[in-house]
Amino acid sequence: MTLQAQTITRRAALGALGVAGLGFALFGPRRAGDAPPGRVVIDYWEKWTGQEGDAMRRVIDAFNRSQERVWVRYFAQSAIDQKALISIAGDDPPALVGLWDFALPAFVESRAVIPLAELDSAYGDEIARDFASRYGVNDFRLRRERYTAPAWELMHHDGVMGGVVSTCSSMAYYYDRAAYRDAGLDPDAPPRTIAELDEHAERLTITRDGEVERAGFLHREPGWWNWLWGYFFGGTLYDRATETALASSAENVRAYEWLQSYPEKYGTQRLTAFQSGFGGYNSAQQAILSGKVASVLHGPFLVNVIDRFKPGMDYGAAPFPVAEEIYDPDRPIGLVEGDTLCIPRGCPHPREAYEFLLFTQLPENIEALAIDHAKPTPLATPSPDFARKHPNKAIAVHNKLMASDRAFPKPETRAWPQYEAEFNAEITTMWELSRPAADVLAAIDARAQRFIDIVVERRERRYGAES
Amino acid sequence: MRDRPPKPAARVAIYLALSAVSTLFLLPLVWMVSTSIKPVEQTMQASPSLLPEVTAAMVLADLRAKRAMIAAEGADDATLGALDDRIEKWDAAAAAEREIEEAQRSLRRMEASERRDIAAIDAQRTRIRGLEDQVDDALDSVPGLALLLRQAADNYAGRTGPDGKVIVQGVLNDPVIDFMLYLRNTLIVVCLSIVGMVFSSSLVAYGFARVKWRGRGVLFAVVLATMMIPFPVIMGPLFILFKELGWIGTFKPLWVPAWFGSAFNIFLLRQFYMAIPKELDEAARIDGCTHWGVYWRIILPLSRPALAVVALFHFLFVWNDFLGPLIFLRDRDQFTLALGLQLYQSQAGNVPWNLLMAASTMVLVPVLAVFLLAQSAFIDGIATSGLKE
Amino acid sequence: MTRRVPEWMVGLAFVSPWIIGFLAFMALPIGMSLYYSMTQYTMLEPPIWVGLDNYAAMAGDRVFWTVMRNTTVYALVAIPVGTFIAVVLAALLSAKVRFQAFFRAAVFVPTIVPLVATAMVWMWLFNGELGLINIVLDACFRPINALLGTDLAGPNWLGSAQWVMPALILMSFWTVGQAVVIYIAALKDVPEVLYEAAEIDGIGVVGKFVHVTLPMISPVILFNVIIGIINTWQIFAVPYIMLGTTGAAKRSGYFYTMYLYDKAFPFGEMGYASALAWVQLMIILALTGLTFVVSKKFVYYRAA
Repeated sequence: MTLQAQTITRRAALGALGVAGLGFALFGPRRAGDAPPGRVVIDYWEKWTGQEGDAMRRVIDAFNRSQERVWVRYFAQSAIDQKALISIAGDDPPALVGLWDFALPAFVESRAVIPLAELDSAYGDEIARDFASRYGVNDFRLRRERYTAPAWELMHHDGVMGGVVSTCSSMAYYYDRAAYRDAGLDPDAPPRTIAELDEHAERLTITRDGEVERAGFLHREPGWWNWLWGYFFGGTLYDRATETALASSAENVRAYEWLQSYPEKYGTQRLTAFQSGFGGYNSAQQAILSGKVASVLHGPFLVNVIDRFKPGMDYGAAPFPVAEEIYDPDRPIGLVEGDTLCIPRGCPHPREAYEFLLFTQLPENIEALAIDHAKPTPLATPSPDFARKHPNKAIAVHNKLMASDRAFPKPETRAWPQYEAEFNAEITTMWELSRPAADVLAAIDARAQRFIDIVVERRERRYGAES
Repeated sequence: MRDRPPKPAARVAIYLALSAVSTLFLLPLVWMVSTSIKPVEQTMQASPSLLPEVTAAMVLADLRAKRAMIAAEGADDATLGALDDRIEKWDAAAAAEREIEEAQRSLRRMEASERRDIAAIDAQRTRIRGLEDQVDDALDSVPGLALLLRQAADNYAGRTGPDGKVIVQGVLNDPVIDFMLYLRNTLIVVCLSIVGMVFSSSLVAYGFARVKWRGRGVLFAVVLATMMIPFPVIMGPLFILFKELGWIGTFKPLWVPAWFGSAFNIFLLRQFYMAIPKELDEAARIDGCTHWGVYWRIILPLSRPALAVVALFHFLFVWNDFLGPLIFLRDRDQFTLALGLQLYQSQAGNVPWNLLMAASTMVLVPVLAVFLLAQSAFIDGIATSGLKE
Repeated sequence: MTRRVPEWMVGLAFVSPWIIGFLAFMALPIGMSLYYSMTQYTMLEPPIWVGLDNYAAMAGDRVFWTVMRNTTVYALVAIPVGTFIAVVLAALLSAKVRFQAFFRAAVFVPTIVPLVATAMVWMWLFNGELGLINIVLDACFRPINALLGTDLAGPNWLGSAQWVMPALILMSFWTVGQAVVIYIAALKDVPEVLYEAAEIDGIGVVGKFVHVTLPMISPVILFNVIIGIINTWQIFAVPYIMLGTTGAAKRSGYFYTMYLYDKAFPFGEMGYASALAWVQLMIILALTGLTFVVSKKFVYYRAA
C-alpha cells in the first residue's frame, strides 16, 4: 500500500470512529434516575462516594419510597466543598449539603446555613405530625437528650445549631493483638498511660541489623492528626473564650517533647527510611495491616480497610493513653469528628430539605449510616443490637469516647484550617530534632494567633464587636 | 532527515533510545492495566507483579460467585451441594494461605529476636512448608489462565444474575456508576464543541499571524494573559454569569465557550501560521485573492497537521476536564467520564483500585485510538500536506 | 475591490470570535477577580473593600515566599531541561523507523493517563525502600560503595524535604508528550530543500539540526516554552494528590497555585487568593514578555 493510500485508510478509520462517537452521543443510553412526576425535587450534595456513598443512598431511597411528595437527588463528589462554596456564593445552592464539622464555624458565622431552630419553629410541628403518622415516631424533634454531649456539640457553633451529624467518629488507640502476643504482652491490657505506651512500644519494636523491622508505636502513622498530642497531656490548642492560640502551653510542649523522644530513641533517619517503605493507606501493604507498625492512633473506619485487605486480622482498640496524672477510666480523652448535614442559605425548598434532614436522624437511619461507615453512634442511647451489627468489634470503645465529657472536637475557629496547616508543615522539623519542640510550638503559636486575630478583626468589622 | 532512512548504525542507536524511552513512558499504562485485572487484595502492592497471582482466595471468590449465579438461575440442590463441598475445601486452602503470611512474619521476628530459639524457628519453618504444600496441592489442579481471564472479566464486566441482581460488581454493571451514560455525555460535549473550537481558533490565529494591523500585539498579549489567570479565582464569577444565563445544570457552559476559540489553541495555531512562508499568500494576494480566500484556500489546507493537533488537544481537554463539569452540572445523570472516575475515590478509604484502574483503562482506550489514528492520518500525512518547496 | 477594506478591519474581523467570547465569558469574571483582590472576601459574605492590603500583606507572608521560591526553582530546571528532552524526542520520533506510531503513542501516553494512576505509579517508583528508582540506584551504588568505602544510598524521595523537588522535576519530564506532538507536527513543516542545501554544503547531522531544524521550528519552541512557563506556575493536581495539602515536609513541595487554591477554598480567603492570582499573572506576563523579547534574536518567522 502506498503512503497515500494508507493515509486515506486511516482517515476513513478516524472518520468511522468520529461517526460512531457522534452516533453514540445522539442515540446512546438515556438518563435513568428521573424523579416521578409531581414531586418536589431537592438536591443533596455530599462528599461521600463509594461504600460510604452507598450507605447514604440507601437512606435516600428509603426516604423517597416512604412518601409521595419529595424526591431527593444525590450528587456526590469528593471535591464537593468547593462546588458548595461557589454555588452558595452565587446564590444558587442545593437544598442540602454535607460539610465537615470544622467548616461549621465559617458557615454559621456568615449565616451561610440556615439555623435549624428557625426551621424547627417554622415546620417542626407539621413535620412531627407527618412523622408520627408515617414512621410511627411521636413528637420527633432535634432534642439535646437524644444525642451524646460531644455529638450535640459538633452540631453547634456559638450556640447555633447549624446542622445535624450524619455520621461522627472518635479516635482511639489501635493495636495488633498478634504483635502484642508475640512480644509477650497481654493483648487484653492495652496501655492506659503514656508511660505504659512507651513501655509497650519499646517491647513491640523490633530492630534488626540496625534497621527498624517493626515499630511498636508511630506518631506519624497514618499522619492525619499532627496537632492533637497535647490533648493527651491535658492540653488544648485554643481557648474559645479569649480566642487565644495555646499551641505553646506547657502541656503541648511536654507532648511534643514526648513525640521527639521516639526519633531520639530510634533515630530520625532510621524511622524515616522505615516509614518510606509503607504502602498506601488503601492497601494490604499499609503500615498496620502489613504488621510493620504494631499500634497507632486511628479511627474506627480502619476496619473498612482491614475487612477488604486482611479479613480476620486480630486487632484491638482502647482509648488513647494519657499522662498518668489525668488518667481516669470513666472519662477517656479522644478526638471526635463529625460530618454535618446542613441546609444552605437560599435553599429552594427549606421545608422539604428539613424533612429529609430529620429523616436521617431517625434512630434506624442514623445507626444504619454509622454501621455502614464503621463509625460510632451519636445517639445517647444506642439501640440494643447496634454493637452486634457493627463491623468494628471494638465499637463500644468509640461509643464511650463519643459520650465522654473529655472528648474534644477540632478547635472551633474559622482560622483552624490554617492553624492545622502550620502543624502539618512543621511536624517534620520536630521529628528531625533540628529544633526543640518548645521553639517550634512557639512559632506555630505566634502564627496561629495571627490567623485568629485576623478572623476576629474581620468578624468585628462585619458583625460588630459583640455578636 | 525524514525521507531517507538513517544509516544502520544510527538506526540501531535510534531503536535503542526509543525502546528505552517508551518503556519508561509506558510504565503508568502498564501498571494501570495490570492493576485493572487483579483482585482487589492484590492491588497496590509495594512491589507489584505484572500479572495477578493465582491464589486460593481467588478460586474461592470465583466459586462463591458461581454458586450465587447458579442459585439465582434456580439450580437443583445436588448441584449446589457439590459446589458447596468444593467451596468448603477452598475455604480451608484460603485460610492456609492467610496463615502462611502470618507465620512468615512471625518467623522473621523470631529470627530477628536477640534470644533466638533455634528449635522454635525450625518448627516454624516446617509448619510453613506444610502449609505451602497444602496450598500448592490445591492449586495444582486449577486452570490458572482461565481463572485470570475470569478475574479480568469480573473487574470490567462483572457478573449479573438473571434477575438483574449484581453478583460480582465490575465497572460496567455498577448499579450506581453508569459508565455508558457518562461516555455519552462526554461525547455530546465533544461533538458540540470540537468543530467550533478548531474553526474559531484557526480564524483568530490567522487574524493575529497573517493580517498586519495596529494593536494586534497588545490584543494578542491579552489573549495570552487570559491563560495565566488561575481558574479557581474566576470560577465564582463565572458561575454567577452562567446562572444569569440560565445555563447551570446544562451542558452549555462546557461547550458554548469553545465556539469562541481558546487562548492555548489560538497561540498554537498562530505560531504555526507564522512559520508558513509569506511568499505563498503574497502571490495569492497579488492575484486578487481576499484574506478570506488566502485563509480558506491556502492556510487551512497547509495547516492540517496543526489543526489535527488542536482537535486532539481539545478532545483531550473535554475528556479530562474535571472542574468545569463539577461546578456547572447539577445532576448525576449529566456526569462526564472525568466526574465518573472520581466516584471510585471514596474519601474515607476503601478505594477499589482494580475497578478504578479498569474504569481508567476504559476511559483511556478511545483516547489512545483517536491519537493513533489522528497522528498517522494527519500529523504523519506529509504526502498530502504539500508543504514542500 | 477588497483592497478598499482597511487591514485593521480585516484583522479585527478575523479575531472577532475571540473578542466576543472574551467580552461574553471572560471579561466580567476577570474583572471581578481584580476587584476581589482588593477586598476581604470569604465567598460566604459580601466583600469588604481593603484597597491594596492584600498585596501589601504578601511581603510579610512567609508561605508566599516559600511557594515563590519552590515554583521558581522548579520552573528554572524543569522548563529548559524539559524543552531539550522534548525536542530531542521529537527528532528521534520523526526519524523513519519501524513502529514509529507505537513509539509516538508511548511517549504521549503519560499525558493522557488519569492523574490518579500517574500519581500512584510515581508514589511507588519513588518509594524509599521498594521503589524501582531506588532499587536501580542501589544496584549502581553497591559496586561504588564497595570500591570506595562510601555509603551511598537512594534517597527517601518524597519523605524528605531535600529530595521532593528533584523528584517532582523528574516527574515533569514524563509529561513532555504534549510538547513532543507539537514538535513532530512542526518538524513536518521543515522544507526538505533546506536539508538538501545543507547537505550540499557538507554540513553533518548535528549541524543540520542546529542550523536548519532548530531555526525552522523556533516559533513552536517559543510556544512550548511559554506554555511551559504558564503551566509550571499553575502546577497543582499531581503534587496535591501525592503530597497532600501542605506539600510534603516543611512545604518543600508546595507550589504557588496550591497555596492559591488553599487560600481560596479551605482557608476562606478568596480576596487574598485573587491578589495572589494577579501577582501570578504579572509574573507570568513579565516572564512571557521577556521570553518574547529574547526570542526576537532566535525565533525565525518565515511569515515576517
